[in-house]
Amino acid sequence: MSLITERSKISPFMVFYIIMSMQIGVGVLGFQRIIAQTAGHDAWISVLVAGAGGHLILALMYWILQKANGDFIHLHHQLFGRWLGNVLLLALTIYFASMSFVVLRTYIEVIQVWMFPDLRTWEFALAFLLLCLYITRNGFRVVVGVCFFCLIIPFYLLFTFGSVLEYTNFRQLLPVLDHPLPSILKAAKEMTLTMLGYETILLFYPFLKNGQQSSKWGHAALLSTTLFYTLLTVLTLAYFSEKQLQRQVWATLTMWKMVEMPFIERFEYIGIANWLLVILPNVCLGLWCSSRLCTHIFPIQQKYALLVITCICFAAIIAVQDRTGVNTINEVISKVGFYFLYAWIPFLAILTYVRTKRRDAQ
Amino acid sequence: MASPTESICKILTLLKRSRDFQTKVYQNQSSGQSVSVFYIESLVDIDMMVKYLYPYLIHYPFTSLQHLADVLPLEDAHLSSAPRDVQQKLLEGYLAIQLIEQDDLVLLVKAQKKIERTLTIPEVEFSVVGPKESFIESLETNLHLVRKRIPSERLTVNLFRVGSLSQTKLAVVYVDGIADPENVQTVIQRIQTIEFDEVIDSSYIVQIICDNRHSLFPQLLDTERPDRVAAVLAEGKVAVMVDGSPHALIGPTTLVEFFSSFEDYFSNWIIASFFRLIRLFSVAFSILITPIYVATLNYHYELIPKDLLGTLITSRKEIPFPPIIEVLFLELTIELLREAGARLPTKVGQTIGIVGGIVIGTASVEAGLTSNVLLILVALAALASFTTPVYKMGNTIRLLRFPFLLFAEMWGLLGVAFCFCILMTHLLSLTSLGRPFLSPLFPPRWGDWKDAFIRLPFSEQAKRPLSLRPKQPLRFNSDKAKAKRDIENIDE
Amino acid sequence: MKRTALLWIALVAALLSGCLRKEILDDISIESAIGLDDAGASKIRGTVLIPIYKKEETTNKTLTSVSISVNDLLEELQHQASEPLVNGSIEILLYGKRLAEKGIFPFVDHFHRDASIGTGLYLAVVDGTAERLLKGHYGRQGNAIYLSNLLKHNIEQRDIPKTNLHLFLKAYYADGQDPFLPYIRRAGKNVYIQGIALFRGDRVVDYIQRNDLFFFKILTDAYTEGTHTLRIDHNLYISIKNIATSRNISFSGSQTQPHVHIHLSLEGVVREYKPTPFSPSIRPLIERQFEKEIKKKTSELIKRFQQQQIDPIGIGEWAKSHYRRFRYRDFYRRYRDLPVHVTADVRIRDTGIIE
Repeated sequence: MSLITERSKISPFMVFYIIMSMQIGVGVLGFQRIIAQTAGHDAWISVLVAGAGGHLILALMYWILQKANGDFIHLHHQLFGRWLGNVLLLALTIYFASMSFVVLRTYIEVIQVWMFPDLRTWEFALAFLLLCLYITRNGFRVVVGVCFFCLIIPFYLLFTFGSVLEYTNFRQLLPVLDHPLPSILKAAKEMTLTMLGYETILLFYPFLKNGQQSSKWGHAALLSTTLFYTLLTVLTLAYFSEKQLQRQVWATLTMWKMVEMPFIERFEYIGIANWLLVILPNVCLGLWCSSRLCTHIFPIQQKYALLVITCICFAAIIAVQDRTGVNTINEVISKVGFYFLYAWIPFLAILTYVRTKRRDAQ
Repeated sequence: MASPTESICKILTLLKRSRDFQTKVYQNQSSGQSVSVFYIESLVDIDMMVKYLYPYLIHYPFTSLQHLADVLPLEDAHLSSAPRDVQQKLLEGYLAIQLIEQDDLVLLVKAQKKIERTLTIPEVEFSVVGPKESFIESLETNLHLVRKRIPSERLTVNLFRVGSLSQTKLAVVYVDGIADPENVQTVIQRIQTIEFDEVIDSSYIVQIICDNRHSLFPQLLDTERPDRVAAVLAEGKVAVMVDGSPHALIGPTTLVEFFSSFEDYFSNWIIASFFRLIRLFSVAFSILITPIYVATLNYHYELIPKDLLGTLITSRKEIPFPPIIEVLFLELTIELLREAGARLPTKVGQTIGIVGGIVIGTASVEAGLTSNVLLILVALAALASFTTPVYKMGNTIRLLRFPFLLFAEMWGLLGVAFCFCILMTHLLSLTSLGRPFLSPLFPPRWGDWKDAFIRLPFSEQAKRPLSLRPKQPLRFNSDKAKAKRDIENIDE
Repeated sequence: MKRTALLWIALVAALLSGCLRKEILDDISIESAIGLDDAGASKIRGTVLIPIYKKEETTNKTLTSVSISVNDLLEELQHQASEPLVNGSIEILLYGKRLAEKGIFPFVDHFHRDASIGTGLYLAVVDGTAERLLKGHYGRQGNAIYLSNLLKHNIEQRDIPKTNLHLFLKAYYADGQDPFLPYIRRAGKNVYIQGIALFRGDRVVDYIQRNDLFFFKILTDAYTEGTHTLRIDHNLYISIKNIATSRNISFSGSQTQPHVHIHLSLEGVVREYKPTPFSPSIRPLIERQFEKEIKKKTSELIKRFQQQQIDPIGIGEWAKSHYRRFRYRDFYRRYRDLPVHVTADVRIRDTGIIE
């Protein structure tokens, strides 16, 4: 484990910004349709359920981190041995890198559909990844700074939803719990990709002063995100009629079409441009996490690892051509993320528990 | 190694090559001893020499140089045998007095010619209310101006010499017990490692010791106001003053500080806060308005409200150029006017600005080269950039809009957002004396916001800025400060 | 540092090599309204309105073409335009009566799919042809702004219920509601609102005339400010302003045997009373009279909807949020004979500055 100097560590309350900015990503633009497909007008309950599940997993993560003295990577080596541990970590590296890739590819897709149909994928991806490289090479502090500003600055977008209130009908949410529990749970599972992001805590935990103190901030972030998603879901469900929502690939953007200001006739263009700021921390932190894992698997410096991973991401982005490709990858990542959080983390927790028990017995 | 005598001789011979180096030999009338006096004519106050030194040299029966040194009624007279010292002192305007020729001991007498302008009112950081003194080119006077405001034994001045040729005197000033020693050490260490021959001004120092030389942003604040220096010293910052420069440097500084005028402290906190917010808004406006114009006109006509659409189209209808050329043309015109105004004498400069602005603006609209809407926007943006209280920051802001324009031309609003991200990252990675440049924004220190974007009343300013890590965090006892009573109530 | 600089230079060079297609404001023809008419043989005749902006006055230019689909039509029209036609600033879409009676969804869907078109634009059905209406010349700001302002102020302050592309599609996709659109016509040099066109699915099946608009609006939407003149008997008129209304639809009975109760409440201020002066004593009388009128007229309208098997009020949607596991199909099977009971509650607040 390379030593992290006290000066490069960050305050525990920054966890709030990191986790929240990581959780709010490109999914916000169009998650409503997917969850409303199964849970209909009860979809907002699914969001709350997904949030509650997230809290559980986050608590579990903090417990594991506490037992592992904050070193998630070392824990893998201890539990599975050097070789198998490395294989698992490599899988994790690919997971984080592909998260960056998915976010960026989906965003480019949004731009191509909504703003510039002739934007070349490689052109924007190259510029964006260079920016990410610039950010991540400046160290973790700058990455955190980007997370912070990219959460604070687009915050005003929340108020723009105020002007769609005129067209909402909250009666559409009634009757509550009209759908069977399994479909609500299924929708909650669909919600995981949108809510992903808090698992990065496993890797940046060593960079926190007083790691365990940050847990309240972590949970606060998760709660805020959940509330934000719930609010947005409620608004969406009240704004569209049910079958209409099924036809909206990017419901949030369609809602923005209605926002009108004295000096801006159509808001979705501002929204899309602003969303660049929202996805920036997603991509950066994903890259940072995977490069950090790399340094522990291979004898490689972080900056070179970053370069390699960015190049791979770039190649992958060019390789995916159409929307079906993007959708497939989104689904795969969603599944992987779900099982990583709800299967792998509990499994690790059990292993850790058994190990500590055995050590105590000895 | 040559012997000292030879060295002093050698120095004197070396100096003699200059025509303004004088060697005078006098005969003391009491002892009959011959005394040689060496000095550089252009540096020495001849008046002082004639008035105070000659009577002693010629009439006073001194026995040794030490004796002479004791009786001379002059500021500084000391013996020296170190050739380096002698050389340096001669070059600063001392007289060297030698009793016996070729002796290795000389008496150095301070007789500098002092030519400095009188104190004037600050021109760059002018304020309507508040003190009207500004620094001048003499380090001693400048130090005097600061010390006068902080009559405390804790005000510490460290003196250095920088520049292999210029040997410029440089003072690092801080208040001991308040300033973070780490900051002081950073400054001192960076100053000690300066390698340069001719240091003319404090702006040389900024460029040499700043954290990132390739950044557009100034990373140390320069000010010509002694009151501002005194105020920030009390906050726990470190000031660097350079002899020959009417600007002091202050560090560690933050981005926000560049947008706070010192006049803010002289007015009511609500008014001050309002003006600060106006300034920040105008900076954003100045950087972003023309890029947004380019982006909207190039790519996002949908954004324009229907009532404005007609206005914009009619104003642009006759223009033969795409928006980017139109904008660049006008922006460069404004820059030209500004540069021409700055290079010419004040009165001519003003005339050029007004005449050029009006004539070129009106003519280019009438000729159909630019649209009148854009003319208004560019003029407003230029005006807004001049609200920045620190001159150097104003220049940075004017330059910043060009990359934004480039990206806006390429990707429209998306490009503007992209460029903003680059700027944000750059600012995040910047440091001033190793301290984050964006503080108190990031790392967020909510407590420091009381004197950042807004300025709360003095009673709320009891804590020194946390980001400076002051050793003594409290300025005053805020409980005492709040106890205010009317006269009638005192008796109760 | 040098390496990063190189990277940035590479980036800028790469980006400058490929620029996006620009739509510079003054080099495009901005469509501000589109009118679609039936051209027989499953073809449509499309009219595009392009405002020509001048310093003093905006003039109108129209291009017309016949084609099989909207997309094809717009492509066809490009041949007639000196500058590329763009449709991001369309204010209003007009559908001719004959087309509207055949079904307009395919011609709305195209605009809905286009990301550059907003959802706040107005749709309207034209008595006659949209082409003729668009070829007129109204107002100084151009026809499109004239038409959209005409609808806008009638929606905000008068008796047209809220409507736009989003609301049309919302009602169209909703199982428990049918859309409606304003019905306008050209009369000489003017355009006026004739009433409301009622849809079943995407076909117009009925029209509401101007004198029923007030009652239609209180049934489907809410007034925030408006005026209405009530004729109490032969030559006794009362004019009420600042009308604020709200409605509530409740249900009783099981899902299979629902009873619908529509409650309308109204608040207003007396503005004019003819021919005798208004006195507080006759206020209750007027209130009762008004309530009776509302009940009568709205019940008539609802009967008419039931006869036509359309639901512009969205009773089905209300029912859906009332009953659990609601099934639209069962509800509308009995819709024609659904017992609907209307109650009204009118309050006249004060009489303005004159008593």
